[in-house]
Amino acid sequence: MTGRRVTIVLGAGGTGKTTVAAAPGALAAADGRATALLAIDPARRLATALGLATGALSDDLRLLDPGPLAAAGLPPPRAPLRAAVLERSRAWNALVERVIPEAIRPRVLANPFYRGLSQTFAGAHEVLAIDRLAALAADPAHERIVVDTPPAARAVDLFEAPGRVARFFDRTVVRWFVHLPGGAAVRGTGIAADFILRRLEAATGASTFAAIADLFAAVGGAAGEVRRRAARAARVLCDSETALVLVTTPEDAAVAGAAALLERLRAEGLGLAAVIVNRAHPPIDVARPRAAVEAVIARALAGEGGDALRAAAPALAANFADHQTLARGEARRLERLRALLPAGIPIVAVPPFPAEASGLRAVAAMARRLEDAIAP
Amino acid sequence: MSGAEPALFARRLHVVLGKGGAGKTTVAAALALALARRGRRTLALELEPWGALPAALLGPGRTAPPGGPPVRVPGADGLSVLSLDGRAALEEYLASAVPWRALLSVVFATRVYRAFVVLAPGLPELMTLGKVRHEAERGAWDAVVLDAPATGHALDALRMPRAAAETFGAGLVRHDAARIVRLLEDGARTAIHLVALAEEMPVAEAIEADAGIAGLLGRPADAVIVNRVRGRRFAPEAMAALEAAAAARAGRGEARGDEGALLAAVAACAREEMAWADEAAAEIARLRAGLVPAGTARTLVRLPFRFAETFDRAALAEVSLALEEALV
Repeated sequence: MTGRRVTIVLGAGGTGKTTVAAAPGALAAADGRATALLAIDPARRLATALGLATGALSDDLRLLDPGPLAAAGLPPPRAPLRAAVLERSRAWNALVERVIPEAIRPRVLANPFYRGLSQTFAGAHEVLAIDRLAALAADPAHERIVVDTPPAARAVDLFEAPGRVARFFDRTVVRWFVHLPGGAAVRGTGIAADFILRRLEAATGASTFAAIADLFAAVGGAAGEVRRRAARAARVLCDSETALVLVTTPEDAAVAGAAALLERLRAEGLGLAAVIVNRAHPPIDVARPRAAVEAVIARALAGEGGDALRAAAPALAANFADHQTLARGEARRLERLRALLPAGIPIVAVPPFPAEASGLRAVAAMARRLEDAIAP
Repeated sequence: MSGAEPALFARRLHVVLGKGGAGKTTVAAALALALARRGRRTLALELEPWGALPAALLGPGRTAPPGGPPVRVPGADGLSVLSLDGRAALEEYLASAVPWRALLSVVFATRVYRAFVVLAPGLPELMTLGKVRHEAERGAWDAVVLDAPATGHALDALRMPRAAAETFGAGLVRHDAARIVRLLEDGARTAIHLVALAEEMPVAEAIEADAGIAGLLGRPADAVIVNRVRGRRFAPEAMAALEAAAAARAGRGEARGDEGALLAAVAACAREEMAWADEAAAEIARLRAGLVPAGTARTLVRLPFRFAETFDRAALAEVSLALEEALV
């Protein structure tokens, strides 16, 4: 989005984040750069945005057909444009295949704790997403990578994921759990910890620790590789070739969410490349009182078609006044947002385009509006 | 789809979920206000600390301390709001299993305990759901309204107790997880409210979420609430005439004149509004067609779009009244 290789699009749900992410991807491909779009929202909206059937995108990068892109009004791609969505259990199993030796793999895949971890529990998705991004970034064939992230607060979890993996595979802890089945007090953890863990075990079920211990016994040898991958992912996120773009709308809740996200990014030491304000109404610079506006509308309607149309004048004037009200509120909130941003971070306002609100046409409309603000 | 399930308002637990940005928190707050107005002692809950629910009920910038205690909502008798915190809920749970608090605080600081929390990543989340169940069943509240996370994550959260019951061996956690599953699956005690917008992606997501809920709980969402619906305010002929008048003035070089510019601006607002209204009508039809066919009539509520500079408490009160009227 800013001429950098990796663009990570962040924002609250419902801000048009997925459409925004697809647009620079399409523009980069039109500019002749092989581009990969990766969606990590578990709701998987990227397929809808690209005009594909739900479920048409999978963990494998899919080459997009240039025909529908051009038909929707997008510039034709001059380099491959590919897209993938993260499929949790498949991606997790693929990760296991890459890092766990084949001989012990069936034991890991059958481990009940592993199954719970890979399919359900919070955090697993973020860890996978960041690993997938790092794998894409490691392949020089992808000249541009655009990532559509999960909604707001979850997106920040992405940046915490590498640290989380590293903690998960902390050497001491791995050793501790591997030794656990012996049942002896573990050196260095203290009697208190040993006691509490026995209580934890009673509360969570005796098989839990056995399952965790077995999992670690199985993957212990792979811990080094997993730590290396986590470090690689952390490097991609902080790389100078990676741009973070925040998407919001000018509505109350969205701006409040964007402000909170900015705060968290600052706390993580991450800088933004740009802010895109989607569905921002241009200011309506009319100072006339509503009655005068209505009179002008009524005269114009009467001139076009007589009294029948003229009756619509109050409704049209009310609609105009309502839109002015919306625009005033939006302008105030955007001022507040600008005040939170460091100097030099551009805010790109994109007006609403309800007639082109869906699928690839929306992506095309977004691309037209973002074109000037984007260096592919 | 008309004819509200008569017992909807009488249920104990109300789970409000939907796509991010659809107004889930607003609907949860409005529902909690409506329940309190009808004389029910109501607790509004959010699953993660520092969410938007306390501010929606208490005012801009206001928060509720993560993990509790609940904060009373001024001006709404019997209504309190609480932010849950997974870590705090887990420590509270362990404190009930281990009687020595001094010992616990030492333990919570150890590396092994922190590793345990990381290693059993679902545990804090499960504890928050356990807390929701506890609040819903302990009798202090007539109704508990849960502002759930955005759809994908909310379905994960609903799926988790069952997975936990399978993952954790026989123990207290497994027992508690099974109780949560029973409460969620009980249509007499729990109502699932699915919030959507009348736009393409939110409708696609709502249809998927409804099927997901049906798959998880054995019944689809009990109420589908379409938020911020825009309707036609004038005839298309009037808009066309206005556009023609604006174009004619532009053609005569009057566009830069006062009246020409005004008409062009009025026409642009009219065109935008008409496009939103047409999209809303088409998307609501698509939503109706795509929802899981339910055995009984299901409530589909439309909450009208509000043209206001800012969404304040007065606006929330209006939404709450509209919701009450539609659901009762």
